[in-house]
Amino acid sequence: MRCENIEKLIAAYADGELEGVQKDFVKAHIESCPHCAELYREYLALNDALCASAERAPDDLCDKVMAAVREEKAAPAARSRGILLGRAATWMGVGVAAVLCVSVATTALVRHMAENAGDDIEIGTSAGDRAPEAEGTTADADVTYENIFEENVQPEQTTQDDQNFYESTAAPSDAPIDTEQSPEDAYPEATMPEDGEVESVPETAAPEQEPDREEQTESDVTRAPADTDTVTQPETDATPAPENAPRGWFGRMLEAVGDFFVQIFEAVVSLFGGKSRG
Amino acid sequence: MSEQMHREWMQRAKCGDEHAFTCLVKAYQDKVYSMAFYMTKNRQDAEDVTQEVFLKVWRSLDTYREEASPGVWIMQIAKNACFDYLRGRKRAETEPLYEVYDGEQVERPLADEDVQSNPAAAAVQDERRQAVARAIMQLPPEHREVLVLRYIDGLSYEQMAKVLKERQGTVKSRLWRAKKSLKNILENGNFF
Repeated sequence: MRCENIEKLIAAYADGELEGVQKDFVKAHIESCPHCAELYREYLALNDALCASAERAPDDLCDKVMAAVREEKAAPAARSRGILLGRAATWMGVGVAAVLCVSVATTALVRHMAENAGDDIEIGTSAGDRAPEAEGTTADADVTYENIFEENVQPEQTTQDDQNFYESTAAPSDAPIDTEQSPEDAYPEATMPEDGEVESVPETAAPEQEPDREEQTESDVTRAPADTDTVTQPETDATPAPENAPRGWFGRMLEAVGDFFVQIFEAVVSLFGGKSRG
Repeated sequence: MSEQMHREWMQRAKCGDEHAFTCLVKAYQDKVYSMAFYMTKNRQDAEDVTQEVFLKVWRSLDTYREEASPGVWIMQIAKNACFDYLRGRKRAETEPLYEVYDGEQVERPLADEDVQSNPAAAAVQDERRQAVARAIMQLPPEHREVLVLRYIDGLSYEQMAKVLKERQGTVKSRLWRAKKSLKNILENGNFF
């Protein structure tokens, strides 16, 4: 080992802090290296000089210390009161901070709920207006008012009703009777077609649909809940992008909380800054 | 023997025994004062810091654990008090020695027994002590701290590590660098 690398060990050896293998190694090296031996003597002399540099405390220091201690013992109540007041002030500060945090969070939550409720109302009113336009443009192209009417309708009943309607020549109770017009003129739809076919009503389609009636019936049952969903889907689809609303609410709450803590921090800094300068 | 006695004084002082606490003050006041002196570079400030240290010791007696060494515990409080003082005063570490107190602070009367036994040797030793003290004052605070803890307060490397809250290897390295710097200052000043 080079002497410059062993110098640190020589200093520790002079301090008596080496043990075991390190101690034996350094001792052997010092005995064989004049340079390191001289270094070891220098460190010993320095240690002695340092030990002699101890300062003596003034003679009256102990008396002054004990006088101060007795003062402390005589006035513990005042110090305890100060400690208690300090603790009370600390807990009050914590309580005020907690109340303010809760109020900020509650305010932000109420605002968010109010905004969402308003959005819901807007969506509800605009859905009906928008639905016809939304055909083919919504995410679910199948969800249109036309589809909803078709799905909601009971084909069998419609067919029978239509048949009754077209067979009946009796005027509706609420419809005025124009004596000048023939029944056919007044109710062109009520005219019995010669072929027994009705153009406007897909009566011919009814038999074709009969095989599907059961399926449709079942699917109608199953669709009933879906219908409500499809009715409401435009509402959800028409909402503003969901990502924006929560972020806006959350962002506002975070901003409010952050502003609050910044104010508290500034108040604490100014308070303790004034104390330290005192 | 003295360590055990000091532990007993600590336990009695915890119970409010003023006499036991007085014994502790007398046992450690030189060590605490030396630390304060070399860190503050001023005798008046050193006295104030030493009083503050023992007041803190008195107030903190409830927190003293029996297994801890009284000397290490008290020097921990002293070390923190000295650095609080330095932070409060914002003293520059590179303050030249003689601009601070013109070398007068390191002078102190020789002990009567030293003068009576061998006046010449006492004078030489005192001159050497003053030279070393002046050299220590030129070191940065962290080097002064380890030199005082080791050679004036008599702590081991292990105890120093507890006081400074550092590893023993770190303490050993810092102490070696402090001694090397001190040696260079003394050699340059032809004190040795």
